[in-house]
Amino acid sequence: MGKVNTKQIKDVADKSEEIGNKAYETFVEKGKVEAGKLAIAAFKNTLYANSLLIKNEKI
Amino acid sequence: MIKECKKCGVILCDKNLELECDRQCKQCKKKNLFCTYKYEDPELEAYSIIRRRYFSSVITYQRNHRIGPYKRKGECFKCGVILCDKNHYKSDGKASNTQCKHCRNNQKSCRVSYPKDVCKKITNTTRRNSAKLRTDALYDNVVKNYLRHVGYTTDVISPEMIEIKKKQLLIKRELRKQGVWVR
Repeated sequence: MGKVNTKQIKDVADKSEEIGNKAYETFVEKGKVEAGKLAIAAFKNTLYANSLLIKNEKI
Repeated sequence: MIKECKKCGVILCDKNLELECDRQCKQCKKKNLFCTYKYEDPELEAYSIIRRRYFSSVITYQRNHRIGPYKRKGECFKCGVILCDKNHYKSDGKASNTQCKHCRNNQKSCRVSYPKDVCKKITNTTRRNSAKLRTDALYDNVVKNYLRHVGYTTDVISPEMIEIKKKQLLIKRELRKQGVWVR
């Protein structure tokens, strides 16, 4: 995996984590279902991106 | 009346009887297999020794016909489940197993299906409840297992990922309570 890809993946991981955290807070405060769904999707992306980064580090 | 430990089948010691213990000897509570208490009554002591031997090396003693009159309860001494037909004693007196198949495989209870009058299932509520509590509390190991089921290998899973997964699971549980199922 090239450097560009790693950067991009890192960005995706960070951004999706941010979005997920915000949505999570909204869900906890207001209990909005949509926020919950958004948080789940965002966290899913974060997990996948993180796993890719770790895999890349190990190669 | 002689009372027996429901777990290992050993005769309960005087201390347990005085305390009106719920049919489980103290040693069993400490996860030992049998009671080491010495009885004053020689008859009881002899009987208890026989049972101890029985639990320590059942098959050898049965082969050599050394064992005295012990009761064949047909219960798994580990989980208390009534043994299934396959595990039960054969007509010649030789036991095929003393432990139910599920205990051997480190599972919690016997799941072989029988007619209700033949097989009574003794459920171990404490074990079941503790397992439920572990899952509810979302310990790191539990979350790690969730991640493994999704497809992540153990070498990829980091503490950060565990934290994120925890949040995700919490949201999912909350949504399920409201009737919303998210994959």
